Amino acid sequence: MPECSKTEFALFHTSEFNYVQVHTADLRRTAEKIHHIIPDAPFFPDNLGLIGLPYSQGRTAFSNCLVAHEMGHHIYRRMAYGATLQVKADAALKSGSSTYERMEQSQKDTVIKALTQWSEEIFCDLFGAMLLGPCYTYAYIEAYDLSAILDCKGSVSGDRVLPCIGFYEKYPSEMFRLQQQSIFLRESPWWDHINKSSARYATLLKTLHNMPIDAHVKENGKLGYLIPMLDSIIPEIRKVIGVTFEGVDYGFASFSQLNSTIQKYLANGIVPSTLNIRSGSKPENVNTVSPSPLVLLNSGMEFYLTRVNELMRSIRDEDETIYPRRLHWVRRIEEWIAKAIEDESLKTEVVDGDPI
Amino acid sequence: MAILSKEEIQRRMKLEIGDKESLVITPRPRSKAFDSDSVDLRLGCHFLMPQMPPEPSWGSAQVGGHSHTRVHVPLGSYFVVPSHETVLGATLEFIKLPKDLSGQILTKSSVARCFMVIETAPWIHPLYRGCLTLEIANVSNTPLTIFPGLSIAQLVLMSNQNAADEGMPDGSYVGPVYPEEPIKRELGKQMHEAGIDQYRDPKDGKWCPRTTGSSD
Repeated sequence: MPECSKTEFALFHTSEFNYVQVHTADLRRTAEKIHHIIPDAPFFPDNLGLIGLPYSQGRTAFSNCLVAHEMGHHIYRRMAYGATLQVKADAALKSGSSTYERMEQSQKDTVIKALTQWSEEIFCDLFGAMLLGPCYTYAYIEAYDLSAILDCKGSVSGDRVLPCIGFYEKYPSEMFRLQQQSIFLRESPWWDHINKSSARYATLLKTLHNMPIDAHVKENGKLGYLIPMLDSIIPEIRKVIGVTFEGVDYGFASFSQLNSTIQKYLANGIVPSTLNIRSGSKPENVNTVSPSPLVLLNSGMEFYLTRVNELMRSIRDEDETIYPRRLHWVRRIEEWIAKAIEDESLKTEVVDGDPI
Repeated sequence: MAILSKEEIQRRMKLEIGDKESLVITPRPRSKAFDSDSVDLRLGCHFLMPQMPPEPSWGSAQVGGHSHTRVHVPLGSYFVVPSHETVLGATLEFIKLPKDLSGQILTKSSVARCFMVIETAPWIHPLYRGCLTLEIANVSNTPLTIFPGLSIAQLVLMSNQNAADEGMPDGSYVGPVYPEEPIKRELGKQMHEAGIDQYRDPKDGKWCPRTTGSSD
């Protein structure tokens, strides 16, 4: 991402349940004050984002894909996208609400703020899905337990939707956010893979795509009239995402090439940090490949969602119906992926022009 | 048993993982890590520091509340092992042995000459897969600094004609990538399995009958 090439993030543990991006304005001001008192004291770095993750998630790999959403908040502010979307929110309200012009200024400010905040959340979700692919959306589904809205046949169950369709003052509903991710991914190269996946989370994405906007309006009472306006801003949000990621590789081509090999490594209980890819008929004709973190996260997540049973059945004296044992192997899979990502940071040795 | 040569190790590392002779060492060791009959292994980034137990403990028996503190040291940074202290570490390399290979891990001589011992349970069984836990002990009179990512051990591989069964082994130790604490087992059951009728409980020194159950 050319505009963000110098951006760095510092991650820390919080005691909160949620992932959080720290607004650094206050820290910048404090650093400036200290600089006036202590000569040579450093200013707060321009390109540094601060992201807190729940301490309980310290050792997980897949849930921490949600960090991408918080990175989106940092980029949103750094690129000042709020001003652009606020203009769009104002225009949407003028054309979509007959009462808007008659509102007092404070009321106008309140509804514009709500629409802008909702837009920022949608931006950050699409940012995460664009940056990481479906593994971001799968982590989102897991965090909010959204697959619970599917019945045993894989259809959306009306009663189960209700707890996650309500909008909040600062956030769109979990269901609306997921639906936007589903629509966004459907237009990306990832959809072909999602469409073929047997994962329950993929089924949810396929099912949710057709949920009508009226279903959201109906269940949201006084806030309901704002939802079509938010919907009308979403093309602009996608446009902003397109500008942010202009020229950036989705990573899908690399994923398509390596996914089946990574899955094979995981099924054999092996960390997939160095892959042997056969390039000819002879056993010695092998290319060595180190997959990128993006590829590892998506392959690993797919394996976790679809093949834990198979892995456990291949291990002596293991029983896939015992929950603590399933948890043990899910953690193992996460550790293997985290290890492979850590290994990827080692520079590849090149001998005679070829990586070894 | 015959010790594998550098050429044989590298040949096996190039095989697809489905091949019955496939050997995996990942991340791939640097070219200088291969000696004529061994491969250098590097220190990993994760450590378990033992805490002083409140009660005496023996081996893997579940007696005291023996626990460890987990520490991550990123590549490029270092970890200081105080004089006469121990810490559990792991190799950076994840290893998968085929059914016809056994292995032995040894302290690199340059490390041993600093009076650092890194392995006291050095045998690696066929079909093992995982990073190798290192029992690092500084037996010198001065603190020693260790850097993750630098060579610390040598892996020697031996071919075993009486090969074990195919497939994955017991799951207890399949796939660890971090140093792991010993699996705690009830002392009474261990005594029962060893055929010992009575044992003294280290908590109060009194004699106890063995536990009759046979499962863990």
